[in-house]
Amino acid sequence: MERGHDAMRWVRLAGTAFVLVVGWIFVAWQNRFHITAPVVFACIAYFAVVMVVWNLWRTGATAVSADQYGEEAWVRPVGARDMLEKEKRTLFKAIREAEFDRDMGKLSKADAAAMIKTYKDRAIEVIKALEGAERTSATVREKIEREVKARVQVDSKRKGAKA
Amino acid sequence: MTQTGAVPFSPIALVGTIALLSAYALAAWCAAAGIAGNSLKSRRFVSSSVYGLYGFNALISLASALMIYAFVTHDFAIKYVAETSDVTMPTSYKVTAFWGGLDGSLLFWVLVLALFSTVAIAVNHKRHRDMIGYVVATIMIVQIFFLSLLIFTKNPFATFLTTPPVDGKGLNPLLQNYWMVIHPPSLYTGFVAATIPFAFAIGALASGRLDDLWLGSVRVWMLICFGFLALGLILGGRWAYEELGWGGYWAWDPVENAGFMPWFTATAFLHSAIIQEQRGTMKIWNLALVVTTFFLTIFGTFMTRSGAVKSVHAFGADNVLAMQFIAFLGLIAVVSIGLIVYRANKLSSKAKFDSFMSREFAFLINNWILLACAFFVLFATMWPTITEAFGSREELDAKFFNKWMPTLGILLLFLAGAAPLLAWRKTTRERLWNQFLIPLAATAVTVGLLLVVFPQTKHLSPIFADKVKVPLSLIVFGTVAFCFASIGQEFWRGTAVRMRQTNGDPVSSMLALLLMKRRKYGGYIVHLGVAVLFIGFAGKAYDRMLDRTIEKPGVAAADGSGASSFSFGDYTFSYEKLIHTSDDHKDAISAQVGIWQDGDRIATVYPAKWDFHKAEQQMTTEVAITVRPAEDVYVVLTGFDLDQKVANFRVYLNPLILWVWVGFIILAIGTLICLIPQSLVDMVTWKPKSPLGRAVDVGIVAGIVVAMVLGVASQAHAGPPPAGAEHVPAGMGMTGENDGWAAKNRPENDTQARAMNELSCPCGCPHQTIYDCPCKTAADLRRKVMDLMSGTDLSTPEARQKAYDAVLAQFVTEYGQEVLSTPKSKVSWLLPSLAVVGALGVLVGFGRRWIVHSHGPAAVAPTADSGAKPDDDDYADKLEDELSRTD
Repeated sequence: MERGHDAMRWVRLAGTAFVLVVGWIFVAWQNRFHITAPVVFACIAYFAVVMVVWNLWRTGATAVSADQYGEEAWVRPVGARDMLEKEKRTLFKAIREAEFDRDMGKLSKADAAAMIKTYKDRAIEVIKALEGAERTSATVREKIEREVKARVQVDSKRKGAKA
Repeated sequence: MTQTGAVPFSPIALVGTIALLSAYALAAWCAAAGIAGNSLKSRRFVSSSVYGLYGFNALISLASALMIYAFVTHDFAIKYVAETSDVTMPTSYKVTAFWGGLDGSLLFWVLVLALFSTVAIAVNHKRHRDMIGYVVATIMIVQIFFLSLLIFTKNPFATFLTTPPVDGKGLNPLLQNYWMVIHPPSLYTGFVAATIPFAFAIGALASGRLDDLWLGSVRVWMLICFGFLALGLILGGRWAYEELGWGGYWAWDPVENAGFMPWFTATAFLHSAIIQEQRGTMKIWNLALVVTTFFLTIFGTFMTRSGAVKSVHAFGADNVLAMQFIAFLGLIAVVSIGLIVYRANKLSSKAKFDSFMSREFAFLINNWILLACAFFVLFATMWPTITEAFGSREELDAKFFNKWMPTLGILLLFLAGAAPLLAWRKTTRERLWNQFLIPLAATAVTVGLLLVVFPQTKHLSPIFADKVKVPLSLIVFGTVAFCFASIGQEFWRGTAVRMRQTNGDPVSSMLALLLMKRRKYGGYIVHLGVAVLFIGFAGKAYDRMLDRTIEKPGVAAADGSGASSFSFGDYTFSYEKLIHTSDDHKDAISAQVGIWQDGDRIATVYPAKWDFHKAEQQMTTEVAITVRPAEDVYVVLTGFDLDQKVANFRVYLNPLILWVWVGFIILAIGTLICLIPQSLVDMVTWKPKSPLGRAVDVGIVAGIVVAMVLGVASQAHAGPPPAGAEHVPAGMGMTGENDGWAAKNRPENDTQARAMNELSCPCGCPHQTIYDCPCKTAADLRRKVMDLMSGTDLSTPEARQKAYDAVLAQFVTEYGQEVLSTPKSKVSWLLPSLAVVGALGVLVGFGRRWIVHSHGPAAVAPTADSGAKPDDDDYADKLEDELSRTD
């Protein structure tokens, strides 16, 4: 499904489009360019034929293609990080919803404050856990990139302070 | 089409069959590659299955285009084309004949699923690549099932073995109606859309990815399922209202019920999915609802296509098809339940409900009632089949449903108004009062006003049993007022909050609120639509009917009176002309009728009978409806004699029925608002976007506008006939099986009417009693009732009851229990009661278990120790920063 930098892709697409248009013109020409219901459905059928050929070729070609990206890496692992991200989003929504309910009068200020505090406490825990997971799961390259980025930021702040 | 000797040959049939066979093989490959791809973590196989699914779509599109091509080019060598079309049919009906019969409808099903699955997979294949192979495999296994029906049992490309006919038989005249052009595809689309959530649910279970990510992907498809099922049901109702001429739009026919059952469970899922998102609980429940919805769509298809139930809409009995469906239903049940049990440990959630007075608990009750509705309808629809299996068949007619369903409907309507007023987790007592004050006041004022201004709303209707009577319509109007006030208050207060937050004006704040929280406020608009629908339903309690025969047409006086006139309700009807016209396709006999009110002519209508040349024994009724906000004036020409100019009319006054169609339009608008994609909101809010993306958004907006315009309920029916009448034989229309009988043998007293209302017509009409049914059989049976009661003492209530019982006993002796419209079996009444009581018991039981009796708010999804330090400024700042980017 990953297209990568396949230079031939556009050639194939253009060729398919050419075959499609030529076929449609042929169908219309056979019917003296009178666009009737049979002509319309014949054109749809021809379009379907082209799509069948195109997709069958892709189906077969993909199945026998060499692995380009690494099979194991391709399938996203089921990790705790995604669960934490989801929990964070849910907590943020819950905070916003509680604030909205409070402003609409459905929750008292005290109830809303207690509820939001609970959510926020948990959200901070989740953010910390996410950062921990990021630190442990990063590759060497990512760690170097992060370090460089942090140093650039510090330098730019220092320059800003001097200015 | 060419012929080789006497054996017809159709290249279209040949290529079409090859396309179906190729699709079958490709589907098998996709299923195998999808399962292998995800289980072996192989990108190549998963990608191959995805591309294979696109190829499958192309093959089915090819077969469908060829099928329609065969219709429009009159390729009568193909049996299906010959059986459902003819040369004279308009092109639009030739195209729709594609799904007009069983074989074509199955191909259409496969086509819609192929198109939907292509879109669903194209949108989701990157996001869900660890489960997309399973999803493709599930969809393809469903497709293999339907394709196997097509290829081995119901091939729409099958050709005649001998010389084909010169012309086809034509489409069933009842289906040659513009509502039928869009009603079946809408319903099929709703059915098919349920397959996508099911496939994602199975994919999530098989892959073990049971977080909420799959839920987000399927919610949209379930909403599409909900919307199209509602559209299909309402269009079917509109079609029945205009085409069948019995004055109503809903008769609890098994085919209608087949679409209604998954609609209930889809609605339940749309609510319970919100609980999972908000609270991280009810995972098993949501999976079960997705599976149940899909199961019910297949079960509904089984009901209508296998002959398991009797209906005017069903395709007829087919035992082979029935066995195939039963096997597939068994497979669905075994695989789904097996996977849920296998993943049970991952599906358990620790979060509990904090209070009964919370929105999530209101949603839970809503879920239980919706499920009760679905299973009640399922039970009652299948009851005749179940009883037949154990002896004598017992029919349950519309009255049985109408004694149970309104109560459940009112409870749902109340919840539609009450749930938005509750906060998540817990609503304190004082806040509860603050929220409910205005809606309750609106209810009280409405009920008080109705009692004073419209005392007829006190009319008592039976619920549960004949002897339990309540002012149902008054309760409905009160609940509708509660719902209106509640939703209005939500919009009002929400807009006020938004105005305070953004310093905006009321209009832009409300629009922003609608766009930013479109699922919530779109849902409220759906609730409003449902409330308006209920106004229409309440009007049913006061509808009236009159049959009248007029010997000859005439000119009415200035106020409408005259020898050819009759009065009913506030109206006078004058029969002015009987007109006959003819075209290649049909003969049309129309009566010109003037409608007068308070001395003014308010309308001229043309109720008609159409006699299609290809179906001479099946005249269709073209009713004339004058739509008014307070009531529809519905005129039916039930019979005529062209020589004598005698005409029989049946007039219905249907109060508030317009609001059924208006309510649906509001519901559709709410559904469309819920479906607005974020990209469209971004475009409206002028965020930078690519030109292509903007073009797509503009297309979506245009699509929504077109859909809304097309969805506007129109006033239908028989318009004035064209000039150029031709001669037809005298007496036409009075000799047909369905003509002129409605007015014959009408009851002479209340006891006869009561007995006629209790006896079902055995002619196959949609659950009509002999009192209502316009056929000859009903007229004969009415005569029989009158004969049985003639000379009987009816002077006292006891004598009347005795006569009534004697007539019913006589009919049961002759026709069996199934002739009774209300079953006498105690079991049929007992089981729903037990189901409701049982459901309440389970509800209370679960509720008690789920509720956490604590005063403070419960911890959220306690997956880790809650040890956050509020004084941790860095993280608090970070939290606020991220929170500011959340709407």
